[in-house]
Amino acid sequence: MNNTEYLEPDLAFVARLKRAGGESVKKCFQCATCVAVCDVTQSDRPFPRKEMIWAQWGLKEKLFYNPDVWLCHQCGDCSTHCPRGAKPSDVLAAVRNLSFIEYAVPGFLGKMHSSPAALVALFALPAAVLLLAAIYANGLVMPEGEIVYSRFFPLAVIDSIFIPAALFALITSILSLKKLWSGMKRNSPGKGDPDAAAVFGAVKDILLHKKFAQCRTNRPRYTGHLLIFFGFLALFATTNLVMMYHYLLGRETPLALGDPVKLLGNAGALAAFAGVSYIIARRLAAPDETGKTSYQDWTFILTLYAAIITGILAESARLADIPAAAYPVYFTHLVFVFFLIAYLPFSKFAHMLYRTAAMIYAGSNGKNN
Amino acid sequence: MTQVNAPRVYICTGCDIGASVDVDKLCKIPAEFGVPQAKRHPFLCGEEGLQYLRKEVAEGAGRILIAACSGRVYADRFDFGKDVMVERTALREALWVSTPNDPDTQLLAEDYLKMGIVKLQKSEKPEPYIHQLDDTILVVGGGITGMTAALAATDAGKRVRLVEKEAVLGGFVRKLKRRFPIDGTGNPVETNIVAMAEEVKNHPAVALHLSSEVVSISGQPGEFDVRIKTPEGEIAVRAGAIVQATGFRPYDISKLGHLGGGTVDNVITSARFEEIAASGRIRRPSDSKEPSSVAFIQCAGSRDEKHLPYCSSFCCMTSLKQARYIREQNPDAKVYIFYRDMRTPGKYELFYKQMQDDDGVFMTKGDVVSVAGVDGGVEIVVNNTLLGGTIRVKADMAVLAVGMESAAKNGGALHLAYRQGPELPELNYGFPDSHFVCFPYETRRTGIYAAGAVRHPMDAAQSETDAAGAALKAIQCITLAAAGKSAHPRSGDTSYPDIAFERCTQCKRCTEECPYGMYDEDAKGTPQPNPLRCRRCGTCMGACPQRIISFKNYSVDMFSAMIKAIGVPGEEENRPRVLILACENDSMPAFEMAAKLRLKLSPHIRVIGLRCLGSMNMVWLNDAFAKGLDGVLLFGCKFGDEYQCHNMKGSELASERLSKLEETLGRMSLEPERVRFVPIAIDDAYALPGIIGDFMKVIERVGPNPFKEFAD
Amino acid sequence: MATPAPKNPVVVIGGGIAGITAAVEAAECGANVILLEKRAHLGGRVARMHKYFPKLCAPYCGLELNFRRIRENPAIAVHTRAEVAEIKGQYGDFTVKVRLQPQMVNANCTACGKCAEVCPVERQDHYNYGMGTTKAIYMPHPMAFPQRYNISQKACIGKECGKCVQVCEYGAINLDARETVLELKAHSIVVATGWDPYNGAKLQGLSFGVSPNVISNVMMERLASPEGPAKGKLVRPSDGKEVRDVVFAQCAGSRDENHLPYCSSVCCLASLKQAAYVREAAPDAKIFIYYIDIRTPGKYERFYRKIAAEPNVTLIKGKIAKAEHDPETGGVIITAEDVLAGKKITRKTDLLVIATGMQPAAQNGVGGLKADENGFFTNAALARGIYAAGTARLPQDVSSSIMDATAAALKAVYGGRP
Repeated sequence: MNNTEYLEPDLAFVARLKRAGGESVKKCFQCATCVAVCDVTQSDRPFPRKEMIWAQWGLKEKLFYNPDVWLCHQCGDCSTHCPRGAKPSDVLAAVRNLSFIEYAVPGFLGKMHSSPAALVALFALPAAVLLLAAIYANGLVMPEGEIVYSRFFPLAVIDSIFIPAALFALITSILSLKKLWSGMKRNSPGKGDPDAAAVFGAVKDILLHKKFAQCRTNRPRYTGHLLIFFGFLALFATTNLVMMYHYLLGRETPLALGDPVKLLGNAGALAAFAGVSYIIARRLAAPDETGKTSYQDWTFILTLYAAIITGILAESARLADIPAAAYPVYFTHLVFVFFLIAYLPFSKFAHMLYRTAAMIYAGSNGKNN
Repeated sequence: MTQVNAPRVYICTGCDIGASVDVDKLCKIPAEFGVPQAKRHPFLCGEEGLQYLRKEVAEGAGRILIAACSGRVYADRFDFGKDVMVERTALREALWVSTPNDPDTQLLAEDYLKMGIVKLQKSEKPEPYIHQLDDTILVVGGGITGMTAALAATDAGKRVRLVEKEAVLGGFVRKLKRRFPIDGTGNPVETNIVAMAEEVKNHPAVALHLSSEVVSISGQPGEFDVRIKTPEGEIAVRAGAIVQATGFRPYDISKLGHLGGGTVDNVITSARFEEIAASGRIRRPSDSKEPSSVAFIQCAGSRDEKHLPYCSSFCCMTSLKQARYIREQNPDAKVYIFYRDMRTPGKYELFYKQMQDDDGVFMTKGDVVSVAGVDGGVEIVVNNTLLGGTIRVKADMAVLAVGMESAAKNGGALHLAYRQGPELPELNYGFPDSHFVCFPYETRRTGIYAAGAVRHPMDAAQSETDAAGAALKAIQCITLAAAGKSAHPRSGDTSYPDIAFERCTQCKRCTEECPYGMYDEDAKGTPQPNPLRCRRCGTCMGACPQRIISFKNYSVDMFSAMIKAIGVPGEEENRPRVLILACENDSMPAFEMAAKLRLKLSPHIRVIGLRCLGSMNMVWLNDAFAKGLDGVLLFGCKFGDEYQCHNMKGSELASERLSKLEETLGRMSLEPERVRFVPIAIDDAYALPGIIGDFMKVIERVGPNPFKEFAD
Repeated sequence: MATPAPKNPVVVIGGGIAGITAAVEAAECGANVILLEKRAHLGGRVARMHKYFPKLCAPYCGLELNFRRIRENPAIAVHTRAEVAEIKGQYGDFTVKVRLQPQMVNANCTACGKCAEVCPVERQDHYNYGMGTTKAIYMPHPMAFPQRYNISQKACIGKECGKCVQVCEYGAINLDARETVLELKAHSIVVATGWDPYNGAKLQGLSFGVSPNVISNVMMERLASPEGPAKGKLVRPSDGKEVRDVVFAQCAGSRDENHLPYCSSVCCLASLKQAAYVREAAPDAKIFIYYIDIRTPGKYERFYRKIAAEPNVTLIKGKIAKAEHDPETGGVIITAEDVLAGKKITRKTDLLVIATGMQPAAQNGVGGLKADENGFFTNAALARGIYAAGTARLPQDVSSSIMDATAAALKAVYGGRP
């Protein structure tokens, strides 16, 4: 803390935080039960006790640019044990929800993602772009004969939409991450530069879901997240392999069901579907254990769910040879996929970026356990 | 010696007494003192045994020595009415710590029996000191404590005289906007202090003196003569007992310069803040602006060696309450509370919890380093915060939660015309408190009870409780005094000291040493006793070098005779004798517990219980050594800062008297090691064998008392 | 203007320090008093304390004085093993129905102890909080008042054994004794039902009841007491090993809405006091007190400063929320944040003392009187003539309870406002 600066609590921020899911923030009386029961926190300058008082005082700079907020996995152990009924895991989740807005470059997209009113507009963009593309490609006429989606949306058209979308996501991600990183450097001690060991450690922790495994109250989420994570990785790999098939081997979709890439894709889809279903069921059935589910949580989970379901349905409709169902479903699937990819740094999807960055930052600055 | 009413001795053979000693031999002991042979019974405390004793009483036994179990059990059963004097010799307990049927044990039992007989012979039935007493309760201080005490006393049917130095009743609480909720839930509540003041004012049993002060108090419980300066002039009145409820002063803010106290306009005390809040909108002093941010600095002066080393108990709740005022006035206002430990005990925790949950209240533990004026407002620097390190905060104004100082600190409330000083003795930090956990109203000025914040730091709710407690003690003191009985710790005792003035040398030992300030002095230094102040500890009796102070049933002569009754075997027998003078409050129960635990003690000790070790007269040591006893142990309570003496200073005074002992022993050419003071607590039973064993070794080392051969 | 003593007696429910005080103070004002205690002996919780803070003096010192005042005052009648079943009537004329448990040991008992020597039944020693055993006929404490043995009805195997009856020379034992019912008239009633320690087993994560080396603060009192199960030697309950490291966990249940939402008021001082026990018994042992806020109001601050300044005593802000059995050392591993240092710490210790708070003993009411949602009686909610005192009213320490009981005595005798 700079000794010449005045600390100024931000009442408006406290109010925002409360609206964003941290309504219990003021109940904390700093007993530090949360730190003691948290198996995820590091032991040097541990969380979430200090984050709770920062949040009570509305010290948003300290909160937003603090890797510990991202090291929290919302296990809920702290909330279960809190003697005052404060829910630190929800408060930190709320901070993260507001962080998506805070880090977002351009900022308005961050704001739009936290506002239900903007949801239609966000979906309208991919819907309109894809509609125009479909009109351009084949005048919006469903192709006759065997269902081949590349006849509806030629790969070139898909690529010309999704590659720029991905690039947009990549650039904005980098800008947003930079904002987070420099903020963390500003606010926490340490040299601030990433080191290889930290990167390796973070990747290993993520792959093994080590932190999730340490949760007790919300232990089942380990399974759900693991399924989604690897399902999603499989789907991501499938997309890239399909592109390689096309450009390098000249093999076209649809692939045979026995094709290894197809097998990988289908397995990924099923795993992700199972994972998301489980997570949704848990959030509905045991909200005390999962913690609060915010608007951003729901938007992300449901979009993901919709993308997976429409993907599975599109494949099923194709195999069942029902063109009238297949093409509209496929169109819808693309809208959801676009939403997920293009808006990645603005939706809750971005947690994978920020959490990874925070883990690397923490690891690089001597904050591993 | 012919006695009008000779003692009769009854030996119980139950509880293994009969199996441990030769009772037939014991029965013959009384004859040595001109007393009829002892009678034996197998079970004296049983219905049959009691009937037997009742029959004996009916046949004329007026002084009964029951040689059975300790007087600490069955006092009710062996009570045969006020005309029968009963003395108990704890044979059972003495035998429990000894080896059965051993010659030494037999000698021990015989000695205890002898001492018991002598004690009873030397004892007279006390005649209670009964006067027609006034039972008005004088309450000094008209704050919430004083008014509560006054109303409690009137509820009890007493007349009350209330003296308040201000022109209105209500004291500190009258200045409050609201009080914090007693059960911690809901909002701060109305004080109702004005209604209470009205009730006191209009109460037919209350004589109220506003703008008045006590000029002097003399006399004793039931007979206090009080002079009061009233606006109409000085009056002289009588009172039976007194409650001092003079309250507290907020700590002087100007002493807290490092916190801006006295130098920064917008730094005020919580007391001042309360007045501002009570008078309407809260505005800061410098420019009458309604503050949009206020910082509360807890422990301002409290818990601070340089100021008030204690915690003032009410400041945390006060600041939380005042935070509520600000937040009610301005929902956008920010309130900071910097505390060291948030102290909201009991249900007050629920109020803390409530205030914590207020968005505009920002709290942290920390050490406030400075409060300074800046830009028209204040700046506060706090170290070691929960936010991490040092923080610097700006606010429109700061409130120092200053602690309380006892109003008794500089005296001037009672003006007692007592030999030992004009006010209640203080105990730590200027509070005229009792030191006892178990007996918080154990006053050192009988009939005068401090209550409320004057006594120790407490809030209004506890002061109200305390006021009722003090009112009870005041009423009880008069009730007991009217029956000629002592107040605690010897409650019910009807004896009181008689002084043979013709032999008084005006040495003032008694007037100086009485823990209760019972004696006043005339110009020549002659003690002027006030028997109703007396608590029967006997310290004056122990102090008096002329041995002219005695109680009917407790006297220097009695103990001298008891000591002289101890049989001292010749040097060749190798049976040393050690006298133990032990406090009856703690040391005697410790012996009893040792007995219950069947710990083994040396058979060569002879224990005599005293009301308080303070009543130990040095002549008894002379008597003991002249008789040929080899050593004396003095068992009293621990003294010093954490004293445990129920008469405050008894054991301390006794041990001080020992400083003159060497002279006495020197005169007799005896080794100083033969006398030892040992602090004993009630739970020291397990230590007794060791303590006594060690002393026996000392006695063995220094050898037998050479006076043995000269003893009769 | 003498105030006549009330016609009916003052009935005091509860024979702990508050009840004893109320009874004695009322009686010394001239009232007749009936003191009811549900256990076999007076003294309540304080009788089981090793020492009092801040003087580190023995509770039996004050108790003995009070017992003497009771013994010597014919205006006080004591009923032990007496439970209040029903309270009816109004101020000046209450009827209190009391169930007197079978008085199997009568007043003939001389406390000689031969019965316990022959009794073949061992039972868990509740007086020592389950640490150790006694015979089915027992005295909890050598100085217990009344000085009379008690038979645990649950443990006693009855007349087919009857060994105690045969050995008793004074006809003090009657195994056929039956429960009786007393109907007492009362001028007023003082409710001084006291407190129970909060059940540490409810505090998940602290391993109370899992590791024998996690004990509650009341158990610590017994461990430190020479009459206790360890004869005052401060040792690890699991193996009798001398303790080298002791940790105190404050607010174990108190200030916790999942357990006791209020502060129990005494636990900080109790742990500081127990730190003094450790200092005395094992001067080399390291002592750590983990707290949220240290609450030592008024002049108790002095005691806090004194203990905090002792060598080997460390106070750490941060609540212990996790404690596990350490299979390696047999000790306990505690976890907490040292808040001011900003470090999460785990520590291996020999003995963890959890400062469990006060739960009102009559939280479900007594004789039809209702307690509040936290189990305490508030005077405002009780009928005129019924006054709560001591920890039945508020969590408070011994001295405050006594002040409270003295105030209640005044109201009970003279009919004051609540």
